Amino acid sequence: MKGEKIIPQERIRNFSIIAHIDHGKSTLADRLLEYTGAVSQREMRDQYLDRLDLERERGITIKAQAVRLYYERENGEVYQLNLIDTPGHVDFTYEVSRALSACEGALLVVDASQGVEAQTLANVYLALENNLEIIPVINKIDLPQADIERAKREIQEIVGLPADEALLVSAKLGLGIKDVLEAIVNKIPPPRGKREAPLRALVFDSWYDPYLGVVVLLRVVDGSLYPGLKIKFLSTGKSFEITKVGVFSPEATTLDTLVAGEVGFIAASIKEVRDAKIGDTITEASADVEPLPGFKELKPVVFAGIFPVDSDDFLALKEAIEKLWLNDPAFSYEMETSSALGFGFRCGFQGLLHMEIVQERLEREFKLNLITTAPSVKYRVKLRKGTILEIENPAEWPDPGNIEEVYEPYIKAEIFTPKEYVGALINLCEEKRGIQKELKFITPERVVIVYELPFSEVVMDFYDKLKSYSKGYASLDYQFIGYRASELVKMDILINKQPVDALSLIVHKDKAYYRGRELAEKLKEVIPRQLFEVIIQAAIGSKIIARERIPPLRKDVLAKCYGGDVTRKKKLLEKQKEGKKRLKAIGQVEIPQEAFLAVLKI
Amino acid sequence: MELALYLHIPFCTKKCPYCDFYSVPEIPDERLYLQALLKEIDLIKYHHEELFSEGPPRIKTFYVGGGTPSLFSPIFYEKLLDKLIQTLLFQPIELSIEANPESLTFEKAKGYKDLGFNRMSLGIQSFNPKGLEFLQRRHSLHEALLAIENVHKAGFENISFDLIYGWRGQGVKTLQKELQLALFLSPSHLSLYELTLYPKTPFFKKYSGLNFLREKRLLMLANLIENELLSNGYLHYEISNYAKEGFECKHNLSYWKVEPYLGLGAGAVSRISKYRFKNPESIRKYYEYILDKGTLPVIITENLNSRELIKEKIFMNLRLTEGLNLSEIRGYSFRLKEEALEKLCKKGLLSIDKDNLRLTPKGRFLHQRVVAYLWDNLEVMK
Repeated sequence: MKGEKIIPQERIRNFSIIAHIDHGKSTLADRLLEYTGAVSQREMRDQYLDRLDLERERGITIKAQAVRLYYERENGEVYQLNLIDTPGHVDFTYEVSRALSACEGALLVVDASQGVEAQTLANVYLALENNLEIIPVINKIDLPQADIERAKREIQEIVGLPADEALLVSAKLGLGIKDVLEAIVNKIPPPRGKREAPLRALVFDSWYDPYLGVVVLLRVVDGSLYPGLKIKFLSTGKSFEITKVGVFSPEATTLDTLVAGEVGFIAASIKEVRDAKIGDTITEASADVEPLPGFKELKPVVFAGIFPVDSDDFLALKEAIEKLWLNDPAFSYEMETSSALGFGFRCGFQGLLHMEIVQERLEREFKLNLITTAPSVKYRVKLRKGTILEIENPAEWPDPGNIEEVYEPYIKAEIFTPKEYVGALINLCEEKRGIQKELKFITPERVVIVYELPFSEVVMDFYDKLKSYSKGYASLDYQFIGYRASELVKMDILINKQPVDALSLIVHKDKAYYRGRELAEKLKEVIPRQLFEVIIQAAIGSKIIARERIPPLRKDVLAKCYGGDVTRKKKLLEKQKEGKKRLKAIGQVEIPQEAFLAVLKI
Repeated sequence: MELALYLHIPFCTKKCPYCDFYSVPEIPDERLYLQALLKEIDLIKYHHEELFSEGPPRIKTFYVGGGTPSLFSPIFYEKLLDKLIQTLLFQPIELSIEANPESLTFEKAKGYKDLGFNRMSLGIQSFNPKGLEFLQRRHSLHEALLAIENVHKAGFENISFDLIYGWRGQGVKTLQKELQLALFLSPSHLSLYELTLYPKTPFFKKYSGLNFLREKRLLMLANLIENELLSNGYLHYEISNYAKEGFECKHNLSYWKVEPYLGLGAGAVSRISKYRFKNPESIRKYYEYILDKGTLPVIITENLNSRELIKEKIFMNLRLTEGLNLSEIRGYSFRLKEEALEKLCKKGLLSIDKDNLRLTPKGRFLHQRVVAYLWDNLEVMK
């Protein structure tokens, strides 16, 4: 077995690939696998490393993964390359920092037709903070709209890396792949750490496997790991005996040992994922050593309620959330009770995409049927009696009579865009209550626009609009700049006179009427006509500001039903009812999931 | 045991583009189909005795449907009826046969009448040439009128017309004219089916989502039908069926009242007490079972529990104007929640008279929804 080769530490390279979504990271990874013979052409399927179904479908990488490659140079020297895959979206910064902490270098992939994007920059800075060696790679040079000179200029001017060293690649056509491998070997330093020192390994992913128990993905910093070794997780103090060590190359391959500098997995008859916490340090059971620095914990910024459609599924949801959290500690959760939706959880996320991914993973991996409420940010409410409350759930908004002042989080948004979309994007920012701070040309064609924006406006549909106003070319990066006083009120939605707490939202006073009308109209669109009439009202306090009526259905009848087709016709009706299971019955009104997110679309 | 008996003739000269019943556009081999049916009747008699430990069932109504039953000659039906008389207690008070105008000659109609058929259901579908063209029927208006005359001449007194409304181009005036002509011909029974796009039919692909099928227009046409027929002395006894008093189709009433029935032929369905059987919707498979293997070709069976039986009663009984009797539900130790019934009454969808539940005219148009609502409000009595 290849894995039996002993590779000296100076011939090990651990690296990741940093890229914006769609800039071709997964395709480049595929080519590296193919070139080094880790995967034969026949076994090759597109986006080999994206393991979750969801990842392949959405074309994005959510969870970090590690694959070992063996690269033989022309002089016959064999190098062990460990590729640690990272997600490209800004919401997954936490995952990226996990992956980067296991590496000494990174490939920065820039799409020759799109140039550098804001989110990529954020990850580059993260890599620089981790002291990683960065190799710029200009990909998609085969595209007719490729502008290599522009990409080089941007790498030099925006990222600040020497552009003449950028590699020219077409991952799709397999051009320049060898140059990439050579650069990895020549530029990225080998791992430090001592094979003879006491064992220290950093856990950067773990998941449950039905055959092996919990599989732990780790980077060995010092010492070595081998089957039979008794290890301990420092944070819990729990000990286990290693049953298997191995690597993905890219299929799981067992090895005799993993040594300092290497990346691989272990299995140790661990039954619960919670016993192999991501960011934890593994040592020998008897050792007494300092833990490795874990990961900076990220605070969630977007909050939403997650409820089971069928309230009997609450316990299943609880279990699923607990399990998923062990695998993705970047979201937070606590129990929530809604009079409309019953028992559920208030969850915090890194961003909107992160929220969608968590919901989809819960539904897919745990076969749950869920309702997610509209996302909210964390507000600060100063009461007349002086106390300050932090409120992330509109349902908990205090009585307006008790409120002295309200503050909302603001961000500084940096938008990179080709110059022709500047006008549209400025309008968008103004519409979202933004304050312009800066507007400058970074190259003759590209502009950076800096705005201060209320974050609540951004978690709604800002990102979608940004993309559509700029035909997908503009990119966004942001950072929090603190809380500012704002005239905010709580708007309630009443359905057949009953307030639905899960539909309440916090709005700016000046926008309340407009939003109320828009939301009532939108709800009218998404709530299907039913057997009985539905009245939708938007209200601020006791004042109704908008009203819509969904007239009852008038016709739903089968023309024919005789003895021969009663089974089929009954099943049809059952299926029609089944289809409505995605609807949440509130009183007598069946409300679809979209209604709870309708506020995003106004 | 008393049963309604259905015979399926799954052959047509051509499939109509809106039809989702099982039939094949094949020239039928009458002799072979007859041979299989005779054998099936023997097998059924045996099976019936095995399953219910009693003698042959008494047949109280007989209905031949399709497909196109009028493709088959009177001789075919003669041999079949002989077999039924020999094998079962065949004492039907109503013997119906469906016919398409283009395949119905006077001789055939007379032949059927002489064999004892006393009710004829004619697949007219439209009394307007444009309607016949839209529906891609293979008879002209002229041929339809000739067929009706032949049926009268053959001595049938109980005649039903099948009509489809809602086709593209049929406005209130067009429908009114069609109804006038239908009423002038004075059938004892009329079935008026709203044009429905069944999945997998050519019409489904062609017309799904088109404007001419919008709710408002179809409701207007349905209301016109109701007014015209009621004012001409017809009873609206089922969602799509109208009859002069005493001429309701007794056989079809059995389905809607959820009484037991037996089906013969490829694709036919039977339900006796809690058992449901279905013959394969494949003539080849049907022959294979009966003629080659010598066994009943039952491919799907359901064993209905009491909840399912009651759901079926609610579903089927509420199609009838006479409605549903709550005592039947109680008989199975189930009940419908009081507040659900009250709500439906308050909204004008349901009327209750002691134990009798009926859909109002408004509720009739929402049959599916009301039934689903009642299913959701069905509970076991404590």
